[in-house]
Amino acid sequence: MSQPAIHEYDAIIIGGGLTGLRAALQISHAGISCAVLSKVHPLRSHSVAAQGGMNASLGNVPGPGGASDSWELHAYDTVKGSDYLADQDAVVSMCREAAATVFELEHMGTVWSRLDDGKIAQRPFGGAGFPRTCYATDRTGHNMLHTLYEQVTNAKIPVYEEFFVTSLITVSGRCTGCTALEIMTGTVHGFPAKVILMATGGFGRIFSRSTNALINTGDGQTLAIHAGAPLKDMEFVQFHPTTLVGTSILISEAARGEGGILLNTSGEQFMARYAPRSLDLAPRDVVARAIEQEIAAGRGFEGGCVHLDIRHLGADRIRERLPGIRQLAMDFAGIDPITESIPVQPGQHYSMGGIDVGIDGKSGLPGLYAAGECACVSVHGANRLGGNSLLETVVFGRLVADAIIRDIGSIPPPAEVLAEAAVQEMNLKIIGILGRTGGVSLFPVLETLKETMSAHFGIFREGTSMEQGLVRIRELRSQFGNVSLSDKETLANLTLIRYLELEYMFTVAEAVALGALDRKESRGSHTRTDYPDRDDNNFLHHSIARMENEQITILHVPVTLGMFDPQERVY
Amino acid sequence: MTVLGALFEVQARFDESLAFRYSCRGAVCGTCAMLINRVPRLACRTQLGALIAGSLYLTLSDYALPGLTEPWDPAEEVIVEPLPHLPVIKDLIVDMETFFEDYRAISPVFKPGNPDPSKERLMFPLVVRELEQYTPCILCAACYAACPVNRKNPRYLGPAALAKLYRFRIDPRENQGAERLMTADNPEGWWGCEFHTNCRRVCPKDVPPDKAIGHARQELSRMKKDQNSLGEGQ
Repeated sequence: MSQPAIHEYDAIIIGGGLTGLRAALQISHAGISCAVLSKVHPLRSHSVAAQGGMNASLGNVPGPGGASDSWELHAYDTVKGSDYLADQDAVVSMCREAAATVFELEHMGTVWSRLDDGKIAQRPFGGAGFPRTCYATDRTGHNMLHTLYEQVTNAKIPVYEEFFVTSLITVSGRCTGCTALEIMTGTVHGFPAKVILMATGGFGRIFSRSTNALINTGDGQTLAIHAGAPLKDMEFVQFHPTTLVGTSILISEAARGEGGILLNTSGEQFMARYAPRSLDLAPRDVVARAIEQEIAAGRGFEGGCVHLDIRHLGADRIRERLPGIRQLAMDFAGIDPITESIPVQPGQHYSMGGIDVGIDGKSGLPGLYAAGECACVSVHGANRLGGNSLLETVVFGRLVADAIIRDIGSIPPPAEVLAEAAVQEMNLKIIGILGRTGGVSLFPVLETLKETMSAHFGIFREGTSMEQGLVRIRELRSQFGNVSLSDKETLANLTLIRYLELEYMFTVAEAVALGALDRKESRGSHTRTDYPDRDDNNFLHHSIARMENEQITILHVPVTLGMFDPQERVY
Repeated sequence: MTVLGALFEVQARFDESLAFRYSCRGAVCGTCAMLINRVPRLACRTQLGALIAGSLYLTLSDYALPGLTEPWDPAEEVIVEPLPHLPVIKDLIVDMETFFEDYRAISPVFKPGNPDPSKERLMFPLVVRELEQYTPCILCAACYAACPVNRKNPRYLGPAALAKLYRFRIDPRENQGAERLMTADNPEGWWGCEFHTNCRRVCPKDVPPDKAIGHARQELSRMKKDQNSLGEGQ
């Protein structure tokens, strides 16, 4: 075997989406050596698919009755939207930074949609009291990600593209680097580093119906918990109300922000019965439940869906404000929303839970930081508001980079020899996987896991069903032990990547299941038919998932309140 | 079913070694461009039914691909091949390095014309609409693979990089004037284009690189004419 490929940097950022690139830029500008590792080219990261926008109380568009917006009101909407599970100090940090963060992107060249007076345009979004969502037609994530990639390219920050991270290196309770498989060559590389920043996004693909990119398999969360950094609030999984039937491709909340309405088979705007004040712009958990209930009551259309009608907006407004979703509807459902309603159903969309971190991004494992969707600060609590995830990515990409810049001077350089050993270990593991013969195929196990998660841990959950789901996950995991791959090559072996991803997915799936079973109440996205009410006396806490001897256990830690006392959540 | 969906089926049922790239599966990330029925397209956006029905038929100008080694019945079969003009790594995966080298060559970064204000720089909706013709580019390289000039001259920057450069030129926040266009004022840049317009026809996002190239050439020609007449006057 040849000498292992070792690359030493002070900071390694895993993930090339908005969070990873924003952080890399900040760390690099501070003169600290850093590199980005990403399993896809950064522009292929799921951030690029974000449609609707980014919340900030710019106040460019007047609110109801001419009222003006403020970060405090943004914080209130976020905390109420979170069903009071968000940590309010973290929410305050995010909402205070929001306006400056939008301007910062604008100064880097992001093209935002504009008002007639030339200011950045803002539109109404679910669960928000003001038209607060800044947007770039319905391609907001695309415009932002391309801008940050341009900046990273210009700053000549090394990006290891199509490097799949295979392990975190730890020594005496500190994270000191990682190993990664170069997908196209099959070579395992070692990256000793003082600091690792995890920015790997969500885990939506553990569910069968998800809006997420196919790459969102929870790699970062699993790497973290195995290395000793606990996860938080994993049971809170957001189901987006409007995904295209058949493909689960996202149809942005912006469609309703611009005035679109949801209709059942009687042609009724049924949200009036579920959220009399906010109607179709109630938060996502409320609307997703309503749609499921309509379908269950027999008022859904064929294929288990309702209709999203935007025809009344008119062709011009649809072409100008929602060109992307019109194209998606035409390409993937053969429907032009200018003349027909869009058939939509709820689908997994976002992971509120993730690696347990504070506002500074520090995880429970020294040397390991996390930010963005793979982390849980928590700014979203039990339900995220639309427009707050793009905001979180860039705000915390910067704030956590600042924390790393502060901390890194006091961290000793890692030992290269440990990285070499970790590379050898990973090579042996891969040889072992590829050497297995005569076992079962990978793909049925993968599909069954996803179906299990959707069937037992979907929008409506119930104790007995979840117990069965957990048993099934564990059975599948033991079947996974018998999987063998027919392609024995290491060069561009994409099935090997799918295998390694599936290994990660089991850990995430189990953490979601255990968190969901432990939380015997309904809050935000977590709805239990056997415990239909929120229970602040017993469950106003975060769930912490820790791993010891490969076993996950759930602990509880208090929520940080302060500005807003928990109230009944009415829309 | 889409071509990407079919590739996953083939991988799962018949050949685990089949290699292809994928990510968003919703035609927004630009990962899965490949030659489908001999035309560069996104696999995730291309429906098998439409291909078999012949409704996606598209002819490209001066587009010379190597001949097929097997007979092909377009009413029964869909042909997938790696993007041309780029080296193949394995199966449908090509090395995108030269494509991104061209992207980097045009200095694709916003260069503000004045110091950052405390809030946003103002931009008017009409100007944004003009820019938004070019910003949707997902850098999938379909245009690069469809361009006859890229086949003949590997040093030609290609439609995507030139469209990107023009996007910065017309950004009113930059204020560099025609200077921005000078980066590609050569046969490997603006002047290499032969206006086959294949780029616009295959673009999954309806970006018109040929239009950008035409405008850039006009502007450069005008500028040179002005400089010449200024020189003659002295």
